[in-house]
Amino acid sequence: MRDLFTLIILKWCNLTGLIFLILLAPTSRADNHLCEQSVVAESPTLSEGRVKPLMVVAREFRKRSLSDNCRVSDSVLYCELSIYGVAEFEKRNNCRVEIRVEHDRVREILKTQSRSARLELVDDSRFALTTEYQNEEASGRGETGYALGLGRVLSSANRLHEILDRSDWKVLDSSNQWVSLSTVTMADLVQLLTLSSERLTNQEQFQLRNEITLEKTQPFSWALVLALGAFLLAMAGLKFAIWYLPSLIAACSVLGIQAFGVVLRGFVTSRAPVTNMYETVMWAGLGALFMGIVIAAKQKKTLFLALALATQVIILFMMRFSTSMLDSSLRPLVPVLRDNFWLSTHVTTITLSYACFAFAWIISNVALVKSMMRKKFASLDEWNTVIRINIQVGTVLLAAGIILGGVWADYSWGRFWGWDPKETWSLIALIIYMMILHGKYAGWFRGLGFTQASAFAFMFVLMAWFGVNYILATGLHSYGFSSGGASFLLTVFLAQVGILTLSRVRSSFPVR
Amino acid sequence: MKSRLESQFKWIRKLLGSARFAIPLLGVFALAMMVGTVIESRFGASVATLTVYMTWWFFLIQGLMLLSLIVAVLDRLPMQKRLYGFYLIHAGIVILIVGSVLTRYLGIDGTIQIEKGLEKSEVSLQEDQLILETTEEKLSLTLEPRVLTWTGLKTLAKTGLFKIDLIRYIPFAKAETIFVPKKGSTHVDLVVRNEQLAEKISLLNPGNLISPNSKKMGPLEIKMISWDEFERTRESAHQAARIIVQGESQSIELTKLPLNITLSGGEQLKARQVRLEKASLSFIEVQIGSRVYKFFPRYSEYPLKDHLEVDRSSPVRIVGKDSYINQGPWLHLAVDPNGQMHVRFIEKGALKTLAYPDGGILLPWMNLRLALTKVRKDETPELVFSEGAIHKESDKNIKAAQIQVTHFESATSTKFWISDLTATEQRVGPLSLAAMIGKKSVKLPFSVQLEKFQMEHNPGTMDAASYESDVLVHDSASKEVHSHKIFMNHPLKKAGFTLYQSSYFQDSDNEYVSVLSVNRDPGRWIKYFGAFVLVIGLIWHYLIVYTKISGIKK
Repeated sequence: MRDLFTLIILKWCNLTGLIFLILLAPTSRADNHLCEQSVVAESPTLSEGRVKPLMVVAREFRKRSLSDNCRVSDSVLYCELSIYGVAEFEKRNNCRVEIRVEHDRVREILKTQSRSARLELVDDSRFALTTEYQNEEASGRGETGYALGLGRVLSSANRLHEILDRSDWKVLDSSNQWVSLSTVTMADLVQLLTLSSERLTNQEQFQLRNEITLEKTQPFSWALVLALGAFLLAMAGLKFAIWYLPSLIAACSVLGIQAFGVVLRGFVTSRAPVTNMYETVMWAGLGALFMGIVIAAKQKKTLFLALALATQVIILFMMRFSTSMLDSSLRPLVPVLRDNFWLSTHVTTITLSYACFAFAWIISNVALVKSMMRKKFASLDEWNTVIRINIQVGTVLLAAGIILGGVWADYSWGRFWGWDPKETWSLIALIIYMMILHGKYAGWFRGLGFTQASAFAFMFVLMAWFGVNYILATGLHSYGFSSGGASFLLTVFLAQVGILTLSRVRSSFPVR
Repeated sequence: MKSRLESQFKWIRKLLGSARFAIPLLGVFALAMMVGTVIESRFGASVATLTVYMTWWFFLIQGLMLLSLIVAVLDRLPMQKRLYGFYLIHAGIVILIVGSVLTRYLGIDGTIQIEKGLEKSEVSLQEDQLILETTEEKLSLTLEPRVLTWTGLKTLAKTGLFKIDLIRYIPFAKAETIFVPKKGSTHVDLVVRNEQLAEKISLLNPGNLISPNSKKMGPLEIKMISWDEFERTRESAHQAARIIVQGESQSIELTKLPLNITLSGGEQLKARQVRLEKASLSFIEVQIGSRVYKFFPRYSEYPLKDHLEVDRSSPVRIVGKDSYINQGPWLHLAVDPNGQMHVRFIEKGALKTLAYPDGGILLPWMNLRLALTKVRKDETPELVFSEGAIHKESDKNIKAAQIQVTHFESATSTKFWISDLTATEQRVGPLSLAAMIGKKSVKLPFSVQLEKFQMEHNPGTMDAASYESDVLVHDSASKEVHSHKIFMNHPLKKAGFTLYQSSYFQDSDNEYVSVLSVNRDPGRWIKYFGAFVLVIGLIWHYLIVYTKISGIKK
């Protein structure tokens, strides 16, 4: 809650800051304000196999590799580092730029306590870091957190060196070739950058413009702020019916803003935005909110709208702040995934099914907590009906999604099913929900039991969705748990077990 | 009595069709899959397949599920309108399982690895086999897939001449080199280093003149030759050379051709100089029996094939000063009968031959220094295997087996190790054989020849954006040839087989090798149909009927 509050304040400050900047901006741009021009931030550059605006490249680099206290925008930081070097940049802006160091044992090698290190310090320890990295790689323990930490520091330092010797920043020269900044005379830079966006192909220009819009508007951050407001409205709607319609409208506009972001992301890469964890989570939020709006509108009740908005707030919150687990950067795909039809149908179906399960999960847990807090045990039938419908829709979508995946695999490399962990776990999740539906039919899960079962079943979806990537992929050794995703999953799992235990204890010993 | 049996049958049937049987069964199935994925993440896909997915008990679970699905439908007959979706779901899953069984037992799923220019029709499958070749016959024997080491004694095959017993089979082995006595064989361990690099090199000369052992370090070729060859080519003048044929060495003078030599086996060797006036080119043609070899001694000691490729597998070589000088940087080693190593190389255009001095030699390339670690005379390396760790990447794992071959007539029997690393050559009495562990294979009714392998990169990176194989398809029956491009989502379909572009890798010469997966699936359309029925049933049952019956009360 406090974080969200901070976010809103930050957003507001940004806005006012922006207005101040516009007001104070000098009309004549001298050469030493070269980097502050918008043409620099919006200029196209080549990075990680794709044409991107410099502002995105700069933001991603800064977030991933640097730790600084400079009050300049990402593109100014990147540009001035390229042109003036670290020392001059620090003097100009009166701040410090250091390499981010996250792993404790890497800090030990660098003999530093702080979470960042000077570039010179990393360079001096380069031999020790490289040797450790090679040892760790050769140990056969797989991608350990330590190896990742070492690799990240080394690649951050390398990248900074490349920026400093002007080989990282690629510009489009007059012969339509991407060349390093080092081959360009600084006097021509602004002109070259202005021309370079015109030299792009039409499609590249379209993608670049959309990416700049995405970067400037930040639809997912605004959706978060709005979703929070809509959630508060819906909470008010629980008490006073008059707030029902405003909260429904607010929820629809969250859906709209998020859909705008999804479409922009699709335009930037010219493919369905369903290719990484960030995007699947994004779809899940969209799907859960859609389900909530449909149920709330049909039922004319605010309760499930509030719950759908809660799901959406959690998801948007993860997308905004859990950057180590959900990477928002847009990368080129590996060749096998480059089929828009299968990619969009298969992944969207699966993700929407996860969205239904996530929504059912949130409702189940709220119902469980609510039933625990009541003195007299209230019937959960109304809640369970909504949970069941979500589970039914989710099950149909999941089965269809798994089959679509099988058909795609068969079409692409001739194998319908291969016991790959991702597909096996999605089948496990389907089987678990099938067990719940059969159990409900057999009368095994009634009332509270059904609510509890559907709360726990989502743990298997989480495993299929994230666990395969964050736990199984790291090889199940103890180091795997040091990375962000695994500890997040473990926390959620333990919290769920806690709620279920309490709920069971509470229902066995009713308070009179 | 009869009624009791009947009531028992009724009870079992009722149980099989009931949810209280189906739910625990689904639970066991899910649990087994969870175990499978954990094993997969630790030990790799092949181990998970052998310990879970392809085991009898996993099939049993699926069989019981099939039974339960069918009985549940039979119990709810005659058809009720309310349950149409239910029937479709269950029927869909049954059809899906039937299709999968067809795929499993009648389908083919293998790969072809193909280099540029080569033509192949053999598809290698997943299953391992033991391949044993003698001069007369080739045996392919099935090796049962295993995770744990097997020890015992099992006769794998018996022919009129010999029999093969399996003594030990290690599916996850580690290899170790030991040295065993062998007359005439020489082995040296060396270290070549400069400021940037240090490389350990082992070279072997098995004691004949046929196969010198060499190692390339960038352009530098380090070659171990026999002492005999080293001695005889020591002081050769420019035109003097030696012709080396399968363990014999003859001195010849390149200016005094043609000549005829009778080899020890009785064969005639004819050598003559051929001049191509138009191309102002001359080469030496050597004829042994009906085979003809063309040599350009100034270019290489080996004969050249049609496309000017050096034929290193040739049994004939012509060795002379010229052939040495004009080759890229090289270093020749030999060990004399006293165990002293000698080296020869070219320094400032002159041939330099010297005995290896203690402390190493500075070579005239890249500041490289050669140091001798160990000379083993009359010893030869042999691989022995023991149980090793299981690697997740399947290509790091070694399979090894110890077998015993008994030759009946000479009543000799020999025990030796074979593996999937290289073929082991072995003599058993008068029998000479080669054995190894390889993949089972099937032959396609056509062959594919790789004309070109193309790759596109994501701009500014070395990551592949797409890759494709341009192949020529040769039909074995009609002898027709046509070309086809195979790339992602654009496979080649022919004679019931589908060839997909699967991946690629670079071989030791940095040449791209295209990997095609080959597939034949008679269950495909049955599976698709089952899946379709299943999805229709699910939609019917869960989205249309079931929401209506107990929909949301207002």
